[in-house]
Amino acid sequence: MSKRDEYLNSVCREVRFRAARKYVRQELSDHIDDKRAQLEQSGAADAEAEAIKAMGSAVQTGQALNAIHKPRVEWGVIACVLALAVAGFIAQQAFYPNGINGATLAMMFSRIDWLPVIVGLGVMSTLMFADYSWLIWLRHACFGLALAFIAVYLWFVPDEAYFRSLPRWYWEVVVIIAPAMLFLLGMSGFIQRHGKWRVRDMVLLLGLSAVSLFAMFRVSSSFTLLLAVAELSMLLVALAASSLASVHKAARTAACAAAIILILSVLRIPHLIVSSAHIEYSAAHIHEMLSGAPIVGPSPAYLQDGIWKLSDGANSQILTSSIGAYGWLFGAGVTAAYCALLILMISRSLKVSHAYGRMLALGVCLYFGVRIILSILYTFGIAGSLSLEFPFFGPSSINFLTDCALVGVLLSVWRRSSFMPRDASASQVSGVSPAQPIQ
Amino acid sequence: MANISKGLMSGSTGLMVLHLIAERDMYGYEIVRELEQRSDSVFTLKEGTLYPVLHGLENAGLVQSYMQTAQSGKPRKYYRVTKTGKAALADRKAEWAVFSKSVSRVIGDLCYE
Repeated sequence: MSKRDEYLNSVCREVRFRAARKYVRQELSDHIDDKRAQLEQSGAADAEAEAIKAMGSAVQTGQALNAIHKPRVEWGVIACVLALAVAGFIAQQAFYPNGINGATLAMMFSRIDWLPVIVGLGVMSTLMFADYSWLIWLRHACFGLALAFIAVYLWFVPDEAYFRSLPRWYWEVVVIIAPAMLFLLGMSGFIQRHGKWRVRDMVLLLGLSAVSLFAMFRVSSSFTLLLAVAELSMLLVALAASSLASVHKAARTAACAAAIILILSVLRIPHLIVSSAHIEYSAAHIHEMLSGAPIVGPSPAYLQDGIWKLSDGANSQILTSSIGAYGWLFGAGVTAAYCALLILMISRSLKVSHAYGRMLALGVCLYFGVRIILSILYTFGIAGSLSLEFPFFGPSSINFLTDCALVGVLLSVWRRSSFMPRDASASQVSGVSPAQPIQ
Repeated sequence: MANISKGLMSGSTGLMVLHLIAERDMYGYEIVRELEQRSDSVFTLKEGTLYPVLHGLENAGLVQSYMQTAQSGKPRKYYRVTKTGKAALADRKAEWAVFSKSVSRVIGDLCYE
């Protein structure tokens, strides 16, 4: 073994966080290279040995680095996720005639589909320890699969009745897991690899926004809202992450248009604004909640007809029903937990140095954030029926699995944030000459 | 070349490194060379010990790292100061000014042989 390897191994042995070792090793090895080159220029006999000697004690350096590079686990986020999952379990009981009254624990447990919950928590833990940076190499597969699933949805599902007749796992996988998660991961990978926005990137996004909008009209189900929400999240994050000065004017216009289309389609704003019946509906909805009556009534007729028709899924009524069943304190507690979760997620993600990691983390945060905000707006009758679930809270177990996987990716990004360097885009901001994107 | 005590060095290395990075983006070996040249070889670190300082500054959000091709043609991990780092540098310089002035007042202009 060479003296260089001995030194580097001694340093790395002291750094207990294995994921940090390769970055520490590379940086120290580069330093030894530079020192050796300088000593060779000055005519040193054994430049390599002198360079290593100049580095000092490997053990002391390693111990000092170990004190800095500790894996960070965001226990606050994990606690919020578990608390919301438990609250969701209690909330689901509200759909049963007696709720939790008179029901034994065994009865309540038997009502829940536990396999996806256990698998979801397992997936979250596994992804937390995995290296998220390899996701960038799967961007083509993620993107291609997401588009393939959208194509299947658009061309092979003629109407809602046929859609509903399909096995639950089929439409949950096709319209929930595949588009949202794969699109998030694929899009973030493409943005990172391109390094900067170009017109064709924006045109592609605009086209895909139109696809999701059309998909929502094609079959009157709002599950594809998740796709739109995922697109919107990544679009906003990418715009924030890019150096806007380098973005072509036409590309910026296209990006803004895409964002507006997505926002309008997600909120169904035109239809909601023009109808005065909506104001009456909102007032009646709030009155029912304040009076403590369980709220299970359908949305008004105008939301049931035409291209804006949305299904009144039990998913989006879950918090509303549980407020009726368990009172305002329960609803306030859940809302507070979601606010805490969002604040923790976003504030932690903003501190990540690695550009790809930060973009991925903020995209996931926004994806959760848009769903949470829209679901809260629905709970108070401000938004129409959206059939969007609260993350971790709804009865859809496949959704829970997807959400856990995305939190696992977040935890992986935060865990490695102490040693992953930024990419070359930072150099353009500081005025230093541009460099190659990170491979 | 004077042998400076470890205590004095450890207290001021972070300040000097942050100051150098604030002047322009640098990578580790550049920082060591610059420190040596400017101090007339008074401050010669055990070079490996620079990296805990750099990583500590990055952990605290005072600097950010990124990869870039150096003049040698090889990719190196550069460090640049953040807004928080600039503010922290100003505070530390003010702290150092007060400290060094106070020490000078206490010990006066006495020279020990």
